[in-house]
Amino acid sequence: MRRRMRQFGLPVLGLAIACLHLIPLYIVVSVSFKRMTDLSSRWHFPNYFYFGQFHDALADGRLFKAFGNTLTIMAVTAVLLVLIGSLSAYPLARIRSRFNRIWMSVVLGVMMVPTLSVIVPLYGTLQQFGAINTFWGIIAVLTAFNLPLCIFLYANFIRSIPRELDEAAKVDGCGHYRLFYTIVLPQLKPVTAAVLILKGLKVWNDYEFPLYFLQKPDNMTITLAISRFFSDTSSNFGAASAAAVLAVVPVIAAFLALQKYFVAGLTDGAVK
Amino acid sequence: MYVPAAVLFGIFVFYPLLSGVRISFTDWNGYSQHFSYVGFDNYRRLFADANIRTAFINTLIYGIGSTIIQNVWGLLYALLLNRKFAGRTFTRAAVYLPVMISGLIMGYIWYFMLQYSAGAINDVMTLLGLPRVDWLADNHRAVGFILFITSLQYVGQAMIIYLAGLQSIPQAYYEAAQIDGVRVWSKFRHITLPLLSPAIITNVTLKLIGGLQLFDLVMALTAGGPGLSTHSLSTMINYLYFVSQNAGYSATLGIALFVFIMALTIMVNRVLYRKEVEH
Amino acid sequence: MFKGLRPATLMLLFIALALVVAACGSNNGADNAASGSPAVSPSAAATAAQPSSPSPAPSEPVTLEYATNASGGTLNAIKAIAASFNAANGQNITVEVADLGKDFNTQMTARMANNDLPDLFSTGGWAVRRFGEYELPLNDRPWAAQLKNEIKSVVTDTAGNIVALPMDIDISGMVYNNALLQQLGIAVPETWEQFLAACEAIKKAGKTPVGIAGKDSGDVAGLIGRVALSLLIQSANSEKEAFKAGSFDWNKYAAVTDFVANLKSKGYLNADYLTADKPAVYAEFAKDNVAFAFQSNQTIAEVKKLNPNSDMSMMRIPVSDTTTQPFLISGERDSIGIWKDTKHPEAARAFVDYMARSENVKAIAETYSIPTALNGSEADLGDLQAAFNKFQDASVSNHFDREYLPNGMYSVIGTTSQGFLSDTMDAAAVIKTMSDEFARLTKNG
Repeated sequence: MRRRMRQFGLPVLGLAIACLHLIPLYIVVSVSFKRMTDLSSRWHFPNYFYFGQFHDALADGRLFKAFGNTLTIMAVTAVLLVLIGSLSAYPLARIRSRFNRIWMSVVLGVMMVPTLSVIVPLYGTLQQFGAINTFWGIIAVLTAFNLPLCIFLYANFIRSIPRELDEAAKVDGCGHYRLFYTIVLPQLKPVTAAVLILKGLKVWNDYEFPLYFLQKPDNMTITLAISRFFSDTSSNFGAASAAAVLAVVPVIAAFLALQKYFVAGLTDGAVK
Repeated sequence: MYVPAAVLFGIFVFYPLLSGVRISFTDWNGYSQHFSYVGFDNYRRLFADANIRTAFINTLIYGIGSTIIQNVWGLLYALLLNRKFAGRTFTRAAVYLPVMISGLIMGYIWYFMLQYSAGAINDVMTLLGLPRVDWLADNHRAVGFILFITSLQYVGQAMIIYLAGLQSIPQAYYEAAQIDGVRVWSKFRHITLPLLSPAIITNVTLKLIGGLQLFDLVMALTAGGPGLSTHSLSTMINYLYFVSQNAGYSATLGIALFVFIMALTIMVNRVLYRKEVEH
Repeated sequence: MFKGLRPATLMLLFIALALVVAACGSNNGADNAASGSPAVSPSAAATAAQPSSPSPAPSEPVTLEYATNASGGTLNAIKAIAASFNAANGQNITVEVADLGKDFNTQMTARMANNDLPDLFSTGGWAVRRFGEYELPLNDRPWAAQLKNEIKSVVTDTAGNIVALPMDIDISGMVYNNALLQQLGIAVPETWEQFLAACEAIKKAGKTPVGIAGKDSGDVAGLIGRVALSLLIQSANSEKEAFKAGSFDWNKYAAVTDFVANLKSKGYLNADYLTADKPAVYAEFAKDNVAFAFQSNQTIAEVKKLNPNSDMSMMRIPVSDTTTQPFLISGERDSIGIWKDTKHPEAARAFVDYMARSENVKAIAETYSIPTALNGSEADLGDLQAAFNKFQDASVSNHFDREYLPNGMYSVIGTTSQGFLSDTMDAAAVIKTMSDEFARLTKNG
């Protein structure tokens, strides 16, 4: 009897939970395939094929550009986060000192600064560097604000790597940086995967920074491009949904491909 | 090795923060080149302002509320989805999927679901023979919805971390407990929970910091309305700066929010670390 | 231990792809950065000494950024004008339209704060009060003499500088669904008494008397502004002088809140008055479900898009007694200003002159169904022409917040009213906030 419950009860429960969480996605997909004039309930999936909304969403080529922009920004930021994050975490994990404890608090403090609190002075700083509307400006800002979490994940993980390897390398005459990049970093793959996924996602979906720092239509990121579909006088929910679907699909694909490494990285980085 | 991070933090975080402090002592309107210093006026006003108080309470609800809900819920999901059954992987993926959607987009989707005339939820009401409701019109209900939606969206994040944590607990412990005839609840309390402590601390800290800064969802769903009643402190900062043209006051709130998040996080961390040490 | 090279290869592919796109993207980035970023400009002094003739084409390619908050039909008109200007100028001048939509205010504020404005920008009603310190004077332009009188004063600052080119004049009152009123045999009201009676009749017939887009604080501000003008300014005991002197007794504002409370309690508002946005209200008009709205004529154009057979028209704003006349609001709608520190003042002026051509001004005005701002160019107002002719001699007032309140009160009106409508603020709180903000912004502005 118990076994039957487990055999049927759990899958049914699982399915119910899955449905609950998939509702918003279902609605978005359903609306994205409907004609503008189709005012039937949002629950009804259209019984015809219509790609017009997708066509509209991609129409002025802006979405493609936005994709490219977001991809670039995300990729470069992710790489920087991995390189700088691991580098900064290394001494934190290896050396116990008062200085390091203070530095750790500083890093944590950065995580706590609300973006909104600094956004306008930040605009001024970026403007002084001529960095408004440039990719490197927003990449620098995104890197700075997302570093703390990466540093923590790496520090945690590095602590669990035996020191003996470091010692051996030092004996061989390795300088600090070389030691780090050739011996330590390769071992950090699981955490790197976790960082890439967690932060890649965050940067992909970011709204606040692009809103202020990437104002030219050519430089927009995806989330910003989608918000443009909603204005005072018209809410083009159909096209916006199509755009949203297009924005989410690559993310989902990437996630499904990299699932294993993600969980492994979190296991070793966040929960030990 | 500290240099790259230190440089980034210095230029892009701390320097603007200090600028923010300076602005909080002025009456700047946000766009003019002229302003004057007003001492502590803005700070005094902050503590007497009823709208700020509402936003503060909302922020506590969004931040602490979502932290508690998501952690408990996420843990329950993790416990459930750690067992083997058909469709487990599918459910896991489905729960995590909303995390991958931007908060802004999720807000728009739910706005269209909660609309009065064409909203999906009201369609269900009509189907059940119930009258249509203007869901977001009542500010208490709207705050509740915001809390629910953000929790629903991000519970997957907590779940994944807890799953990872659960899977790293050696089976040996459970087997030993089994032999000793320990009951389920005790197993949970004395094995699972303590070994999950790092995961719990991580999750709670992350969620607290994130939840207290909630912005995208509120903007897309209610824009702080009706009136000013569903604002979080972050959206209020934005409102004061750009809509109300009161940059000085906005900066004051910004600094206050930062100090508050810092204080709360440190406090919570102390408590949790003490519990971990006990185990 | 780490079996798959696959994820690593995937990553590398990702990054390679990103770098390729970056290479293409950063070319644009470099150009845009050059034209958009400001500097402490010595050019400001040089600009003042420029001759006032029509500007010659610049010698090297120039890109101008034109930021606007226009949406819908107006935005399309602007883009079309920019495109034809670019074509006419070959490679020399390119105007890029940045439609910032609802983020316009936010982004412009951030840019003004850092003295980094776009070369050209919409000033939407605030040419003098808000953007005044950042605009290039345009008194010497050929079209300056053609500005209609009623709009000229609106875009001229206290020093006599014309700071923006207005393209149309926002003459509006309220809009109403003519088909519905005719169907119910109701005459267009001229006093509030008649208005409320009409509302009662409409409600009895099962339709919605008044449509409000409560989610949009601008729409609510529009309602309050009209009511305030009617009850406080265009009334027998006008408070005009008190406002100008800054001595208005805000307790009298209760008249406005009472009016709104009345509409609410009698059930004359749409069921979703708190959360509807403008498109939702337009949709109800298109279905002939709503009779009145305290909105500008843009509503008429937008409803036509949803229902080409719609029969909507504009009416004057009613008054409370028969000693004053129902009136219309007249003010700035679409205007374009030039940043005074732009790196390309000649090119910018060339574009503004192009905008001022009669066919272009006409195109923009028609998207709102309102008159143009320049003599010698008349918009085809279609069905509304009759209405405008009828109201030619109507008494006219500038917007409540633009004429009688300090800069920045527009949003206060919006949010206090939303608070009042949603019962999260009572009348006393509204009055206190309005009064406090009035004092603060008067001191500031």
